[in-house]
Amino acid sequence: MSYTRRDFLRAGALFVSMSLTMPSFLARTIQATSDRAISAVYGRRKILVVVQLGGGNDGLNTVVPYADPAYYQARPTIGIAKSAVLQLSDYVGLHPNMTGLKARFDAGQLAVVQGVGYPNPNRSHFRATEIWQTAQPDSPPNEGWLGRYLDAACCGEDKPVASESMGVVNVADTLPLTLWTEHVLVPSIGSTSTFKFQTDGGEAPDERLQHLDAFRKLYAQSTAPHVHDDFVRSVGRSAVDTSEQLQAIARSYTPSVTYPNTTFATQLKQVAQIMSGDLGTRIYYVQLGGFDTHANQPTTQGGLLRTFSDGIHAFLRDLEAKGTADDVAILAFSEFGRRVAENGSQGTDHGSAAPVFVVGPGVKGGLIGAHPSLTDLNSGDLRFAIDFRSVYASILRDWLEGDPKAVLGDFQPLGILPPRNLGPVPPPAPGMARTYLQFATSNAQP
Amino acid sequence: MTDRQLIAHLLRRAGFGATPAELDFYAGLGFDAAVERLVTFEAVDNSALEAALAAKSYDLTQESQAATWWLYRMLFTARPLEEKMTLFWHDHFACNNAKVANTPYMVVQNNLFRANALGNFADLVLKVAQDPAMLVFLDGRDNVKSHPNENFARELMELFTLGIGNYTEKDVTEGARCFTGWTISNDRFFNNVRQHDAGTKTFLGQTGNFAGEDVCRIVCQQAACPIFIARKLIKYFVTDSPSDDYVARMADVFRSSGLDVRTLVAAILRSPEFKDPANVRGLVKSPVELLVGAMKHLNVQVLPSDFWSTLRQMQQELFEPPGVDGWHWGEAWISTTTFLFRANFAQRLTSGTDQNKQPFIDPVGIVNQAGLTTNAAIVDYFVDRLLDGDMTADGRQVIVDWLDGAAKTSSDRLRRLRGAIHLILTSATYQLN
Repeated sequence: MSYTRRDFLRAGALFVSMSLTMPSFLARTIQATSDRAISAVYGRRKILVVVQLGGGNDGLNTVVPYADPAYYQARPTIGIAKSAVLQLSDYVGLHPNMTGLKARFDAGQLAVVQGVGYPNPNRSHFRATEIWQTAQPDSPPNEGWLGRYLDAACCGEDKPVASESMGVVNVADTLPLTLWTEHVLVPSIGSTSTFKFQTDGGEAPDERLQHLDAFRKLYAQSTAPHVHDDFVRSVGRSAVDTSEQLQAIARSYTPSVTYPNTTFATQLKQVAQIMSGDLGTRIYYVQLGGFDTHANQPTTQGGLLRTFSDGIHAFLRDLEAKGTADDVAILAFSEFGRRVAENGSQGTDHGSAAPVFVVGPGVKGGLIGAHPSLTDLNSGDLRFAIDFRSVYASILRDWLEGDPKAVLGDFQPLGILPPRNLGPVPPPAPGMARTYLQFATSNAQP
Repeated sequence: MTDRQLIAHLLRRAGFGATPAELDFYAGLGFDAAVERLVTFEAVDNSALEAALAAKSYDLTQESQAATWWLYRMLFTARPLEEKMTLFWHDHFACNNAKVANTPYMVVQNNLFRANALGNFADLVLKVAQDPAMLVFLDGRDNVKSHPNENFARELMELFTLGIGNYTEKDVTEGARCFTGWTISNDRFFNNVRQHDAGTKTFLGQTGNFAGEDVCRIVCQQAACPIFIARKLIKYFVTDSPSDDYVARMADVFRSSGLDVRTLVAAILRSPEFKDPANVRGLVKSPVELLVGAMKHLNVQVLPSDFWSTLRQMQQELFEPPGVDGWHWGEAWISTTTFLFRANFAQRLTSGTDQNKQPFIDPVGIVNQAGLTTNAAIVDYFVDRLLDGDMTADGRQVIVDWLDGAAKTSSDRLRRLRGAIHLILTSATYQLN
């Protein structure tokens, strides 16, 4: 395997492509080594943690326009009182349970991108989720937006069938469409403690190695031409190799803070754990579901927003203690917001535009864009002002050193991730002009 | 493909795999008679299962026991297609107990699916619309005249009958108005006429003072409905990428039958596509298919009380589909994490013990009973039993080499035998259906 300069630049973006014939453990060693080499030459790599808030989070009770009488008219029973709101400006404030994120906002580390959506919003959970995950509202789902980025970063023109990589890790048991790729296999790691390939248990270590070896030999062989055979063999090999590696990492990590006792926080703790292993992982994906609050919204959403905010805050404090927080930006989105007017069940039905959060010490915090009007509506829903692909474009260009145009089409990045050095950084790829569009953060409402 | 391989394929798809004895029995019938027996399951005596379940007396108010009860049915029923279709409807009209929070409702719904497993689709749609678990899950009970809740009306069209693109947002809001007043009283469906919007509605092009029954009738009359259901059943039974022509043919059969599901499923199982060798092992086994299938293949007779949670780890917990669109099938079943849980389930079957501390399987007993004297013969035997012979010579040699590595002690030998079965159960081909 030899590197060309172009390959190396791609590797700088994420990782190197690997040939199919190379045993995966060897490929992984080379990848980890090259990533460390890049770190040594160019400085630390930036890391993205995507948080998907599943079910359609009600944006209006998350970032509350408490100064607008129309808000309380539309929400007579579930509106959040002005006195309870955690004020971000003289117009909007966070849900009272989001104290952790309020602290991040005050520290200038939370960008609240307001009124995010896209034309002709879809109100089906599944289609809307697909749209956010693929960033392709007008075509059937195929690859995710990060999947396309990964493929471009990894494989270029000489595409192998599948590469295995720890460049991205999904912290859940099933893989979201966002990370569906054509050429890169993304590991899903629900829990490091159970992430182990068990053999008999009564054997000597050497016999376990023979068992793993027999498994790997079987998985190296193509079988009869079953359509899903290559896929299963790729995942199986990756599962066994990755689990052996992670068992070693898990033994050496200790959290620096006490994480909240929630599944979500445990997933973030696992991200911190894998980060501590320095495998070169640059993208993590975490999900928090249950936001589909057609009824009894105040209790359900209040609990979820506390889980969300406390989890993020603890995660960043852990990383701060370890000196790696500057490397991390967190993107949190939901597939849609909800109707402006509450329904009769103390809930809200499916709507459209909603805020998106980008959090981390490297983020230029503040309110981005104006809050959407509560009176100039589109079929009872908020009108969007910022296309979600502009948020993605910012992340691709300013955080992951990717080409947003190739992945998303022509969307103007926002100025939420200003360039900052984490130590020396790689030279930008040729032709990558960097223009930053600043959005006014005026709170004046029409 | 041999006749026996075809029957094994049929029993994996129309059921959950077969014990060696079941495979012998259905192979004796021949393919056509086997299909006939599967699709006319009411004629098959299932009293042994019901008697065994009565003796077990599972507490069906507890979700874990209800899940175990259902797994027991899948394992020991004489009517495999009945349970396979019950699972289909559970996935299709997906409700989860995480939201319903009422296990008896989930069991009532499960029995509704079983009683209508191969019945008329339009009848089933109406019954589901009035089913308590569904009325909770999609908020139908909160759907009242003054505040229509659109949840059920939307999913009825998007996921249950038509698919996206075959209705408008207006049909959703109008459909929701038609269902207003449908709620639950004393744990049963109740039509609260005082909460019903008796005004005129326009739904899918028809106008009238419609109620929920009309919506169920009208959606099932749409041209998109038989196509939508035929495609989904083909994906369940045959291939995840059916041709439009195949779907259209099956949809025609379904439409002409007046949406009789038995007619449709029989046509699918008898279609040339079903027997096409390219479609054998062309689906990814769902966790339920993997777990029940492995137990049947190995003739495991004890169902531990915690296997329902093994299914949760593998991401197909019964009564808990992740959302109203059900489970995501195909390659979505297999991630690095779920792969390890699948492999570790196989490890438990081969090396673990049941709640009575008895090993699930007795590999030495099997080998002796079958009179296998060489490692090559042992590997061939288990490849036949577990994979219908579907493993290359190179693959078999890897397992023979593994067996050859055993020291001479009987405990070493037993461990290697367990490992050999484990290697077959974790093989890529065994993950496929």
